Amino acid sequence: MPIKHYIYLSSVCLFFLSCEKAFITPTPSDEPEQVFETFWQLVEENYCLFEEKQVDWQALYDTNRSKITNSNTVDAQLEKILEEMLGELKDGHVNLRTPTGRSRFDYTEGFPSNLNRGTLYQNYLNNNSTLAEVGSIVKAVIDSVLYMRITSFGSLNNGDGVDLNPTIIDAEFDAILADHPNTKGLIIDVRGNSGGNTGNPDAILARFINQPTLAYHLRPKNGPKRTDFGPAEGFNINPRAPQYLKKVVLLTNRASYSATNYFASIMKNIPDNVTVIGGKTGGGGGLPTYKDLPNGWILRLSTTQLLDLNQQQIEGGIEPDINVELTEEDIEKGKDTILEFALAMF
Amino acid sequence: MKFHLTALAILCCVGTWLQAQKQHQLSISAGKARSAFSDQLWGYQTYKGSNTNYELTYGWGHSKRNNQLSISFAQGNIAVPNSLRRRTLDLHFDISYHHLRSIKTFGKSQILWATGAGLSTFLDLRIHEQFSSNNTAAYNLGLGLQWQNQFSRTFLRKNNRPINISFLIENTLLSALMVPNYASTNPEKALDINGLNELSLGGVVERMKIVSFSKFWRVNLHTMIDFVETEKFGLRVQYIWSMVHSRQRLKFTGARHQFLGGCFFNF
Repeated sequence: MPIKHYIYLSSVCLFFLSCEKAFITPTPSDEPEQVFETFWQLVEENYCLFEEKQVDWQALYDTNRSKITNSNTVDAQLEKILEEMLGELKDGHVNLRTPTGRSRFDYTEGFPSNLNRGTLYQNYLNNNSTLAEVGSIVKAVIDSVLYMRITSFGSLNNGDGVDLNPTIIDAEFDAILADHPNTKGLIIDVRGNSGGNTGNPDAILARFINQPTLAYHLRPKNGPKRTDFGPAEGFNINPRAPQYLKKVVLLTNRASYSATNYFASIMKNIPDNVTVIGGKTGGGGGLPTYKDLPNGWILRLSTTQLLDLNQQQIEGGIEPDINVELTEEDIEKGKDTILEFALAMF
Repeated sequence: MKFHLTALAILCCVGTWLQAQKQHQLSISAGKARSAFSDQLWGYQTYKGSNTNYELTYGWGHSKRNNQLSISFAQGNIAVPNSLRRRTLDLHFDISYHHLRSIKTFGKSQILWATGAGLSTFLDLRIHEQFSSNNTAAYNLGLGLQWQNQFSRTFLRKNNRPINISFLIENTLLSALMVPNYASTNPEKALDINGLNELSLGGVVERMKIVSFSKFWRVNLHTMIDFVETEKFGLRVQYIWSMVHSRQRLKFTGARHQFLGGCFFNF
């Protein structure tokens, strides 16, 4: 075999193998300056709620970039700066995970809590064993009204953070309704419920409708520019018989966040027999994605807008139909004003 | 009933056609692969790891024309060199068919050049397991039209048994491709790890886009050495280098070095 054929074949191989080096870009340095630059860029290109938040992200770069040097900035300082910058977004879905913990914006700060668990359980739920809020639904019958407290819309998982079943509410919810056919109506209390999987609210709404119903829209970022968004895509929820036609009151507060905020939105807008009372919900209308920073920290960002059926933002929270506040005086008297207001509606 | 009759007819036709071919070969190989990739969906890291690969091929034809149907599967873990992420699973599945025709034998060297086309259905799936309940899946799912060139030569060993060496270059020219959206996790119903049970064929087809060489390409270089031991049996050693590059709104580049060993049966 002539040597030139070997040379041809070897040249072809070398050409292709060199592509690997050319196309796979090396991991950026994990020095603080590079971490900061990557962090800023990832938020700039992926965060989906800049318009709603009115945050000048460039100004935050200008203010903070000079504080960081490879030689003098230690991890704790860098972490603090990045967390402060994320805090300006005022978004509970945005956080930074580092080896020392996870930052989180407190969306309830400065708002009335509108919930006192001690008062609720001791004076209205007979201090039953569900005080620890184990399980997803705490039930009671108060003055012939069925009361359900949904403490979480989280998914059933294997205890190791891995989802086994995204929706677990439907069977439990149906069973409780079936067990109490003679009650005057239903109170669903989602105060303090910080969210979970939106499949759970969908499963509950399915009992209040009798035909496929447009419930929400998703509007994802589809490019790095601030204006790069895909079209808002509408999603229907299918009914699950039998339709529940009695009066329903939904109790909310500022700590009703994320999937619970979405639940308040669909319950307020869709069924005719539902009234939302309590406080404005906390928001959380951006669906999150995770990104790796060069030093291994994980950035969680809202990257898709979750809009209501009218394509309106729900990030700012959902106003109740009737605003009722639980004051400190009420709590001292052992009174849950919001629940009592709801009971009086039946 | 109609379906069963049609399936039976197709089976009979294919069976008869296969019988008409002169040689059939079945091979089974397994081995390890080293892989590396960068995926803009997850940031700017380079992810590296190793996979266990399995390959099953069935070939038929004769010296001038040959066909090959192969199924390959690989799975493994990818290390994120510098991340708090728990782990990343890396899965590959590929069914491909190719038809090659010999067009030239190079003079003294006796290297046989065959060229042809192939069709491949592939899925490269990468799943990040997170700390909380949200896992993230990234993938290339597609159907590719390939152009292939094979160079092969047979030598005689000292024991007078042949050894076949072949080198195949496979380029994907056109693909119907589905990749994750720019903002992918929860809204990504199809193939999002939470939504796998909601995956429908219609949903996948709807999201497929025809992309050409500039937006997506795959190159595979197969080097294969067959040690023919008897008329019916032989041993096979393979080295496969493959590279995938996708440049949609997000960039993905992956390369794999596969080392496989196995055997083949002629019948």
